[in-house]
Amino acid sequence: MVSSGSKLADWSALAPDNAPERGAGLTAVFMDNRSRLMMFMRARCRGGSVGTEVDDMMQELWLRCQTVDVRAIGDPKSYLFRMAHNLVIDRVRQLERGRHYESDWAYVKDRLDGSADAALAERSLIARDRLRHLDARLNSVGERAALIYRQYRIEGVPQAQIAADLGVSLSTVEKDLRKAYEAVLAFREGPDEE
Amino acid sequence: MNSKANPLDAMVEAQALSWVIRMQRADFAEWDALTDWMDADPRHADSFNRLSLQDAEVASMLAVPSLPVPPSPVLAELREDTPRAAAPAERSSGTRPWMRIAASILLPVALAGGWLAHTFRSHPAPLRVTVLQTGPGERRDITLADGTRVALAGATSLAVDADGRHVRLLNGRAMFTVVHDPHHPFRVDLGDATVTDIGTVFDLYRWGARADVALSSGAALLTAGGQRIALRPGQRVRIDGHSVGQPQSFPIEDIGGWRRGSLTYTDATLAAIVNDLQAATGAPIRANQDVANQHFAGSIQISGDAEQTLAGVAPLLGVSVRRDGVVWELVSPGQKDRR
Repeated sequence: MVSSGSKLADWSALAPDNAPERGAGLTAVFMDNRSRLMMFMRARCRGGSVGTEVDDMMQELWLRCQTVDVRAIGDPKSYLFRMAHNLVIDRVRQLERGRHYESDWAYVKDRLDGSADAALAERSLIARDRLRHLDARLNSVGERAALIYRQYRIEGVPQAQIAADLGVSLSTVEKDLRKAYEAVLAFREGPDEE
Repeated sequence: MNSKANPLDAMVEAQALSWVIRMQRADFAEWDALTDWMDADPRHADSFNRLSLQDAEVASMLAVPSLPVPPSPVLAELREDTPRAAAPAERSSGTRPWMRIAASILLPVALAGGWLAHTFRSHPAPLRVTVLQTGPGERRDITLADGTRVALAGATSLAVDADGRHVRLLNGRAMFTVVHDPHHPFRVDLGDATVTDIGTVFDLYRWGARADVALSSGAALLTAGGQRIALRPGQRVRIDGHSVGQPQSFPIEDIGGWRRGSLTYTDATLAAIVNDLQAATGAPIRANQDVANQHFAGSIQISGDAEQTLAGVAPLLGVSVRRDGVVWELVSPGQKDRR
């Protein structure tokens, strides 16, 4: 399923001596974790939703590593896997975009730039409409769960902190979060059902 | 989700959701375990990829602040039912009745407008908490039942306990003019830090683990990181996670200056300033990564909408402004026309 990589050999040739100064640290982390990273990418692509582009993505990840200053990163390995994760998400998004063009929020947002005014207004209306539906979904789980979701997912506040802030137990936060996530994630599959 | 029809798929879906939620933590490190789980069955990876994508899109939609959020139906309820504020709070009887309690700690005048106020009962103590939220670009002045006045900047969330003397700043910026009561001190929590008033006007700011406390009159006690700091007027303390700075002098006239649209910084990154600009104007603004870590000291003025404000502040901040769809982006001066 995955076409095996002649590019693997290329990375070995590149690293670490030829790596630019700034990203040397992260490319080293890349080399150290190469096989686990490869497993992570392959595992994600097995389901068939990402195609067979693991090698391309590994190559791109390697290139991105060279632009990152490792000194600014707390946990380089986690950072690297998160980069890989985002790369896969981007790739899935590109594939999805090909499938249902019009309803894709990111697509609409990308096209807003430089478009004719009428088209812009129309797309902006679509975006607003979609956001209204999404907001209704989120609010349907109750104000507390909606607030907890926003704090955790949008503001990046840790769960324990939210529990302390709101004076509720951690398990309440967990339950509310799950409820809210289920509501908003179901949203994207059925925006037309409402 | 459609796949819920099949119990096995529903189980996979539930596990995938758990991973998506956990991955959101900044300190998530179980990449190997996640890999192993996905490796066990192709449906795992498929489900995880799909939910991750949905999660990313939903979050990017909700994080764009300029699109208006419809007013909460709860608030209308709250306003209508203000006289019945003393009705017992019963969670089990649905979402409405327990909302009414919110009114009991606020003067009715505080409830006008389209912003959010809602109450729920905390656990395990039977405390009631009201959360007050302003949207981006919004400004609110409220008066608590004891007469304490609170000015809320845009994109601010404040939780008020039932007795109205204990407040938690969840996010954003707020200035307090506290009615002093020696037997019942007024207390504000910002994460792990606490400010206790001793007859005071103070300005608070919180963004995640970072917080600023500045005092403009009276006296206040700050408890943070195991330290107790007595604040004098014209002093400001910065908190970053568990690290608490020394009190620095800060011009009194600039404390709470945001209420007049004036933001003063002694040393702030553009990333932090952009956060303030978004909260104040309500427009989605971001700093390009090339300039996000630049530092700035000085005052900037919020005047008019995002376009007018940015036109005024960009030269001061040493950046150019570029429009990317609905989003304003601060870029380094040479970059304006580069795509």
